[in-house]
Amino acid sequence: MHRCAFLRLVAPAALVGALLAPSAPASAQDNQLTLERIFDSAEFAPDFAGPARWLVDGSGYSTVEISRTVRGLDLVKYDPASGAREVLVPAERLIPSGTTAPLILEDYEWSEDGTKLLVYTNSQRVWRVNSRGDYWVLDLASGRLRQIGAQHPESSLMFAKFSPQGDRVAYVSENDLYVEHIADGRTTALTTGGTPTLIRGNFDWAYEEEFGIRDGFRWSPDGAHVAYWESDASEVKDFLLINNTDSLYPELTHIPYPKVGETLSAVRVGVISADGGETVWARVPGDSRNNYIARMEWAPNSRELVVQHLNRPQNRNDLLLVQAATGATSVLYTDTDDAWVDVVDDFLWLDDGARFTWVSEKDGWRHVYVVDRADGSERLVTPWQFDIVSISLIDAEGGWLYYIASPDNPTQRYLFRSRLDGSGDPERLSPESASGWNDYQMAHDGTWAFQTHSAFGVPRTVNLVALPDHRAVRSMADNAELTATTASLDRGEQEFFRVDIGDGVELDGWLMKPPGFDPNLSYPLLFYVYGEPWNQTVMDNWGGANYLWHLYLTQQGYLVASIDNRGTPAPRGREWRKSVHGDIGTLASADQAAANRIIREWDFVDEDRIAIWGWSGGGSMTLNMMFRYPELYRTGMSVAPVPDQLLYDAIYQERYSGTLEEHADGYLSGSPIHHVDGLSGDLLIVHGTGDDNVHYQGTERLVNEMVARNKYFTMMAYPNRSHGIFEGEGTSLHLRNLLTRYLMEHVPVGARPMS
Amino acid sequence: MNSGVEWIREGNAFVLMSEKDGWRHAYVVSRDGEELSLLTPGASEIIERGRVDEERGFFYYFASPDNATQRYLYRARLDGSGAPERVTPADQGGTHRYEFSPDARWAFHTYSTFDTPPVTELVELPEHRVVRTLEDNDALRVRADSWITEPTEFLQLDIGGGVVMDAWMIKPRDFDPSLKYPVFVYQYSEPHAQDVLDLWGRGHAHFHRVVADLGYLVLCMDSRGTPAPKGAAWRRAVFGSLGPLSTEEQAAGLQEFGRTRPYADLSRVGIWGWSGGGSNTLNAMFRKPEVYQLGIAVAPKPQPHLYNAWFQEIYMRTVEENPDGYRRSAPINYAEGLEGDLLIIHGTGETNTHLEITEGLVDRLIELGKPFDYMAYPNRDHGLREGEGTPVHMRMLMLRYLLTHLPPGPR
Repeated sequence: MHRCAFLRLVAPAALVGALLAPSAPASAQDNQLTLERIFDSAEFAPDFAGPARWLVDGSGYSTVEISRTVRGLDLVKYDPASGAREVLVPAERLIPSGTTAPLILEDYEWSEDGTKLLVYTNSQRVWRVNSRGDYWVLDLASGRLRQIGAQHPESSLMFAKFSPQGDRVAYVSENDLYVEHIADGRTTALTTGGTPTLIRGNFDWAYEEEFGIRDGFRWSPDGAHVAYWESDASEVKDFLLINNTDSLYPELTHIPYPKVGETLSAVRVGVISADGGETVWARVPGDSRNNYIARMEWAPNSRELVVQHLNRPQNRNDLLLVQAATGATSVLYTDTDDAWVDVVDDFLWLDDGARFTWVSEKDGWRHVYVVDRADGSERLVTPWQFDIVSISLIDAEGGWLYYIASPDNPTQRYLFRSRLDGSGDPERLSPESASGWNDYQMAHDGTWAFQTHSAFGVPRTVNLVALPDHRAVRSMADNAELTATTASLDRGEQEFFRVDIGDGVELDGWLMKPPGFDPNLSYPLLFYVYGEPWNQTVMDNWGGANYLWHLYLTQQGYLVASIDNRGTPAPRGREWRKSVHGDIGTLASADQAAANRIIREWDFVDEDRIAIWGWSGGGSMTLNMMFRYPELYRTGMSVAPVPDQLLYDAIYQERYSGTLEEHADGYLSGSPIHHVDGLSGDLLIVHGTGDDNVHYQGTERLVNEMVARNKYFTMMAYPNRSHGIFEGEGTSLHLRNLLTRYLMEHVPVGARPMS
Repeated sequence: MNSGVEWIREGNAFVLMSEKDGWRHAYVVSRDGEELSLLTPGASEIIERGRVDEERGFFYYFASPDNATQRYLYRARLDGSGAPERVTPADQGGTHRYEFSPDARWAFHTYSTFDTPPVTELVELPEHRVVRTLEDNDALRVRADSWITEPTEFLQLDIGGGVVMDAWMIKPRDFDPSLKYPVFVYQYSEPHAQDVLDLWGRGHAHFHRVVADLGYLVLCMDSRGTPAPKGAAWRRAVFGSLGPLSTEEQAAGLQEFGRTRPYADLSRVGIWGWSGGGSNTLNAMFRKPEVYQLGIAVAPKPQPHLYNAWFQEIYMRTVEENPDGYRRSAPINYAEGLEGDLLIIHGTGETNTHLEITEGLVDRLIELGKPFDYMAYPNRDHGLREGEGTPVHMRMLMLRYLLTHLPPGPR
C-alpha cells in the first residue's frame, strides 16, 4: 500500500519537464509560504542528476544533460577523478531520419561492449510509472539510429534489454515477448497470444505493486535463452474503474485484482530459446495459484536459474534452483518467519557461483549471510546488533560489503562497510557532516559513489564522492536555489524526540513548532500519521511537499508532529516491525494513542485542539484513531484510506494481516469500519474514485456504515483520480486547500493562554 | 397525464386537451378530425383530466380558476352546453383528488391543505354526497397541531412585467416580526412540478417546519416555467433554455419578499433544491453570488446536455438546433461565479440524473480552485432513499451544513 505512488514516477521526468517547459519565474521571495507556492508552482521542484550510470569498464560514468544547441538531451561521460567531460552522444545524433527533433532520452542502457546505446523515449504511464514507451538503438560507430519493434503500437514496448552480446534486443509488447536482431531488424516472437490476462514478461497489478517487479524476463548470460514469467490472470476477478466524465457514456477499466482470500494469478516461469521454440517450464512445487514466484535470476551460469518461491502466507521463502534444460527444481535454501519473510533483492553469487548472499531476519535483526551452495551452510557476516537497511554494493573482489544502516538512530541513514567474511568491525563511511538521510549509487569497484543527502527540511543534494574516505569531488545537483528558498522560510524549532510509552517501548517522533513560538502559551496540534509496514514518517530527510505543507501550517500557528509506531519499517529489529503481524491496526493505533496521551500533557499543547491526518495506510490509521480514541482527537482527515482490510490486495494484506483462514479476527479488530460507533469528532474523508490501488469501494462501504449508524462526517470524492489524487488541473492545490480549510474550521488556529 | 384521447360516442368522437388558444382546454373532436365543441371555454384552464361520464353527459376535470396553488373537481357538459361548474363543495379549500369508480358514480375523495392532514371519504357523484369517511387522520391532526405553531402563509409576489409569483412561507416558532430572520429558499423552478401547492406534505413541508423552528424563514416560490395553471405562456416562458429566467425571477421574488417583509434579513439567504431545483440552486450560487450566501444542490443537473433526450429536448430542442440555449442553461458554465458555501449531494447509483453530470462540475470547480462541499451517497438513486438511515442522514447533513454556514435566529 504505497502512499503517494506518484512520487515514484521516473526521475528523468523532471529533467524532461525542465527541457520542455520554460523555467518558472521566481516568485516573490517571501518568507511566508502559500498553498499556491507549494502546490501550484515549480518553485520547490528539485533538480535531479542523471539518470547517471557507472560504466562497467570503470572508465567513469555517463549522464544526461540539456543540450546547448538543440531542444534535446546530450549523453555525456565524465571521468570522476578529473571531471573531464566528453559528449558521447550529442542530442543531434538522436534525431531519427526524416524528422527534425531529437528523441527525448528518458532512460538508456549501454550494451556490454559499450558500442551501442538503447534509448527509451515517448513513455506512457502504466498504473504507477511510465513503463511503456518506444525504444531506439544507436550504433555509436556508424551513427545509425533504428527503432526497435516499430511494427508494434506506439509507446507499447516494455523492458527492452540488450542481449549480453549486444547483437539483439528483447522486449515485451502487449504481453508477448520478442527478440529483434539489431543488424537487420529480423524479429522472432518468442510468445504469441498474450492478452490482458495472459501475461508474458510482465506482471499483473498486484505483483507489480507488492513485489516491486515489472520487468518479467532475463537474458541468459550466453544470450542463447530467455527466462520469463507468465501470469494467467484469467481466473482473477476484475475490479472495475468507472470513468464517468471523459465521455458521454462511462468508460470502464477492468483490472484483475486479487483481494484478500481471492484467487491469485497462476504464475510460472520458463526458459525459451532466444530463436523461439518450446518453453521449458520450471516444475515449481505446489499450486501455482497459491504461491508466489517473486524473484528470478540466472545462477549465474546459463544452465541454471534461481527463483524465490513464497507460500501464500508469505512466511516461507524457498530459494529454488531450476535446471533450464529440464525444468527440474531443487531447494537450495529456505528462510521462514512466524510473521512474514521479505523477498531478497540483495542476492548475489560469489566465487563463481559457489556461494551466494542472503538477507534474513531470523536472528532478530535484518542480517546478511553468505551461504555455501554445496552444503547449505551459512555464515553470518553482519553479526552486530543492528539492522542492515539495504545493501549498496557487494564488492566480491575487494571483499567488502557496503550497506545502509543507522545503528544509533532509526530516523537516519548512513553508508557503512564491513568485510564480506564477517571479520572486523563495521565502519561508517558517511561523515558527521552528512547527518540525516543518505543514499548511494556506487561504482562497481566501490571507489566512487553518487551520494544523495537530505535532512529534515533540507533539500536533496547529490555529490560525487570518492570512497572509502568519502571525499566530495564534485556536486552533481546542489539544488542551491531550492535550498536557499527553503532556508529563507520563516520557521520555528523542528526537533526529533522520543516518548516512552512504557513496557520498554520508546517511539520516535518529530515536532515542528510555529515561528515565534511562546512556551507560555498553548497551541493546536496536528499529527501526521502513516503507521503501516510500508513506510516510516519519522525520517530525518527532506519531506518534499508534505514537509512544506506542514511548515505552512506552523506558519499559521499549528504544532505539527509525527510518531512512528511499532510495525513501521524502522531499523529497530525484527520484533519492532513484525509484532503487528495478524492484526494490522490495533497495536499501531494503541501506540499512537499512548504517544498522544504523553504529548497532550506537554504544557504548550492545547489538548482540546488536537487533529490527525494521513494518506493511504495513514488514512486508515486516522480512521482508527478517530473511531477508537475519540477522546484524544477532535478532528481527523483521512485521505484514500483502507477502511476494511478485506478489500485490499491479497499480497500486501495477507503478508501483514495473515491469511483470512488463520487471522479472521485480526481483520475484524484491525479494520476501522468495525469501530465506527466510536466516532464523535469531526472527520473528513477524501478519496479518488479512480483509485486502482485502494479502491473507492472501501470508502463507499464506510460511508454506508456511517449513514446506517447516523454518524456525520464530511467527504470529498475526486472523480477519476488515482491513489495520489494529483490528476486533473488544479487537483493538488484543491486538495490541500480542502485539508487546510477543514483543519482551520474545526481546529481553530491561535495560541491561547494555558488553562 | 393530459396527453392522449378518450373515445366517446361509440368511437365516433374523442375528448382531447390542447393549449392551442393559450389555455389548457378540452375539446370534443370527431373521428374524422373535426372540432365539435370546446368544453371548457374562458381564461382559465384544466389542471388535469378527470373522467368521462358519458351516461350522464359529463366531463370531470380538475381546475382552480382563482388560485393556482389549489385544485378542485369541476365538470362540463359533454355536449358543450352550459357553463362548467365546481363539484367540490364551495366551503372546502385546499387540494382535492378523486379516484372514480368506472361508472363515475362514486369516488374516493381525498383533500388536504398545506397545514391540514388529508381526509379520505367515499362520495356519491354528481351530488358529492358523503357516504362514509374512510380515513380522518385524527391522530395525525392532533400531532400536527402541536408542530404547526405558525400557520403557513401563502403570498403573492409581484416582480413586475405582469409576473405575479405564488409563494409560501413558514415562520419559526415564537416568530417576532420586529426582528430580522435569515431566509432559506426552497425551489424547483423547472417544468416538471409546482411546489407552491396548498397540499399536505408538499415541498418537504415537514422538514421545512423543522428548519423554520431552528430560526429561519423558509420561503418557496414558483417562478415562470413551473407547471402552474396560469396559462400556456406562463409555462412556456422558459422554452429554449431552462435556468436563466427562473434564476432571475427567484432572485427578484426574493427582493420583493424582503421589500414587503421587513423581518426578512436578505443579508442572510440560503437556497436549496433537488433535481431541477438542485440545478437552479447551482444557478443561483453561480449567477447571483451577491444574493445567496449558501446553497445545497441535491442531485442536480449542471450539464443539461447529459440528461435524457426526452425531457431536455421537449423544453430546449436538440443541442444541434439550440447550442446557445444549452450553453446558457448549464450551471457548469457559470461556476466561476461561486462565492458562497456550496454543498452538492448526489447518489452514485442514479438511474435518472447520472453522477457523471455532477462529477463534471466537481472537476470544473477543482480546476477553478473553488472550495465546495460534496457528499456522494453510494448507490443511491435519484430519491436518495435506499439504505438504512439514508433519508435521516441526508436531512441531518443539510441541517448541520445550514446551521454551520448560515447561523440561525433573529437579529
